[in-house]
Amino acid sequence: MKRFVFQGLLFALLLLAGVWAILTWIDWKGYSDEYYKRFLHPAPSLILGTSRAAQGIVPEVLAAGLPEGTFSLPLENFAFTVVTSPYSETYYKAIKKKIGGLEDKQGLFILAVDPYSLRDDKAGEQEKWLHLRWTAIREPNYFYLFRYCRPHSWVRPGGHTILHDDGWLEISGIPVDSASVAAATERKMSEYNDWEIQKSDERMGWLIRTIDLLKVHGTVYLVRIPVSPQMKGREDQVWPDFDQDIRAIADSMALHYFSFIQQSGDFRTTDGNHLYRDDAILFSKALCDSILLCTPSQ
Amino acid sequence: MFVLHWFVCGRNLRAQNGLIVLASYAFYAWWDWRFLALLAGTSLLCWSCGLAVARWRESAPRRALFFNALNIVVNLGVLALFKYYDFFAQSFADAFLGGNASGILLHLALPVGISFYTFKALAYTIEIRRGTIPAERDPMPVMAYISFFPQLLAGPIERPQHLIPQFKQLRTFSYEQATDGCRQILWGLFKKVVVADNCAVYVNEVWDNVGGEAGSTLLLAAILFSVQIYGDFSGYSDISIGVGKLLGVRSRKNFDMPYFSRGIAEFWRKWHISLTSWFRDYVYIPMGGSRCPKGRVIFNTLVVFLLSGLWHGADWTFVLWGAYNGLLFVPGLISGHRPRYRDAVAQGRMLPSLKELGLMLFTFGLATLGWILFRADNLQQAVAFFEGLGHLGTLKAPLLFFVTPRIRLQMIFICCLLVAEWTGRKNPDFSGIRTRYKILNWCLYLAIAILVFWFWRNDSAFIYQQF
Repeated sequence: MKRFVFQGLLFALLLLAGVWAILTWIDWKGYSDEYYKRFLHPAPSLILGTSRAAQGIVPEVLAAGLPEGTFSLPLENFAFTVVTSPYSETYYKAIKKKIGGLEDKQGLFILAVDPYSLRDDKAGEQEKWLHLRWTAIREPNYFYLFRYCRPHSWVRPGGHTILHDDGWLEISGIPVDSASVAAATERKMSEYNDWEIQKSDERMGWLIRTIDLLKVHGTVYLVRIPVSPQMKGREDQVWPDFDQDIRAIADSMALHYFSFIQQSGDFRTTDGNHLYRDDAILFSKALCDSILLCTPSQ
Repeated sequence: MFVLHWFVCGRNLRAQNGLIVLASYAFYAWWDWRFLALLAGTSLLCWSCGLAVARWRESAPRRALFFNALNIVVNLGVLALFKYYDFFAQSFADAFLGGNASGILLHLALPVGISFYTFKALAYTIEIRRGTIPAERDPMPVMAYISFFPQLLAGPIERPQHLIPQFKQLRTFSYEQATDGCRQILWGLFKKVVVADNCAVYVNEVWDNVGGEAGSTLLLAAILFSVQIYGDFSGYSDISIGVGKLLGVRSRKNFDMPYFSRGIAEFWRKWHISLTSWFRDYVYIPMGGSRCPKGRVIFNTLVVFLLSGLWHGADWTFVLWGAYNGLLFVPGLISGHRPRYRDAVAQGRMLPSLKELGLMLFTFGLATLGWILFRADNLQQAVAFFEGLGHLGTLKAPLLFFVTPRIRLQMIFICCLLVAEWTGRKNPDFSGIRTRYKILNWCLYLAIAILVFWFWRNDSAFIYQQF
């Protein structure tokens, strides 16, 4: 038995060393999935929400458009997907880890809101994605690499998906001609039309708690990102008072709410839901202008 | 579990068995707690019927028969309810109600592992009635036998005469058995994670677009699925057997390198051995087996394979798959030419003869055609697949092995598997790669472990778990 236990431990140690070497190599080469870079270091300013925000708001553009010293940098995109980062306890705790123990009071927090991020999801997002629940923020993030970064999940150079260091998820190289976008929009609408959308008081509660958390560290803005007219139509149908509901929260908490939903159709999307890369840059500039109008000049 | 089993419970048999039962139930609950009561109920029914069968076996055989039948009927009834009711109800509705089955379907979730532990439960009372094993007064060995966690989800379907005696004597730690178990677990993980799961990526892509793929792609996918299902299922069996060895419990092998078979009969003696032997001993032989007129033998064979197909799943594709395999036996049964290969292929030689190679490839081809039915989601998809295969372009398939980049790496792993199992084919206790040199063995095992880590997918599942 002793011999077996000793050899077992030795094998485990050698294996651990091998795995550690591989993870270190993966981190050094920059091979990772489309979320890893967001788990490396805390940040004083964040963009939050679902994949609409992950693709639609470009931190670099916002940071470049805002006067230096207005907000603490770096500004990072910490938005994921509609099933993994709707406003919830899990997302709240992950955001808390992301801002870390920073004492900063000059953060900039853009919270993207839409009916899908605040819907009553009976399946529960907490069960779906443990990345947010268990992952600490550190560099290199061995836990994350070990758990999630295998070759099959790597974002490959030259591929359609690029995760920038600031967390912006750039999707490029996919067809954006009208026929392709129409087909992609139809597929997306068909998927989203299957979802039952009901306002979730619990998620609204977590949105408010998230705002309360972030207000201590800086300025919070609520944003509704524009989509395609078809998606807007669907959202108007399932939650017609969405803008009023969010505005009520913003007013009660002395925040600004920028709803760009009436400009749906003015910005190109790849699938009716996510802004096309170039239009994400344009939208980010428009958002920046809105923020500047509200920011007292220094 | 290992620590508790050997260091805490190592000197007490009841503690060892109690730990195994507790761990097995905890394991099952982790998968699906809703059906724990069903598992417990099956075990207790089986145990109590076993006592009754043993009690009346000599003095009142009809009463013993009743309790045996009770165990069989209740357990099969539960299996039929959960697994087959909706299938037959839908089929009935399709045939007689215009397809409208909304009022008669039950939509019951399938309890994990029910097909496997039910068959173990049936074997228990059957063997008691046959007099091959005594009934157990203590329910613990029976519960451990039925719920033994390494075998709970996807077999092997162990026999009570082999497993229960091991739960009636204190298991002592054996270094050789434990290291053999570790080696087998690692080998099973290699087959499952490195070989099968990588094949699955390509196979699933092709099957998602059957109508739009070229014949050569379809053939390649069919071949890779044959590799996938072998790697997946035999890999699971190896892991299961290896874990058992770590706990001092020996299980019989479930696969004996079936793709080296020289005929379909040999193939079915080496594929999913625990299930095919179960059907042989409890269905085929009681029906008369091969000691009947030729027509009856053919009938018995077809019934067994139809039932085997149905056991795998509640769908007509599985029934057809079973029928197809049964029909493959018919020419041999009619002609009387049924070579019974008892020795390993290429016995005493490094390489097979041309004839042996031809027979192996032919058998592999027959099995692969059957796996198409097995893999298809429905009959329409299977038909579309076969139609796609029937084009001349299919003949280009062998080239795809070398020109498709994603397949090239996979080919290396498949070749490693092939070479390892070919060189180990004569070893009845083959449990993975092993050389004469300890350092080389360690390097190989570390390499395999790292490959398993490298290719591990969190979303991977075992194919046979669904049955």
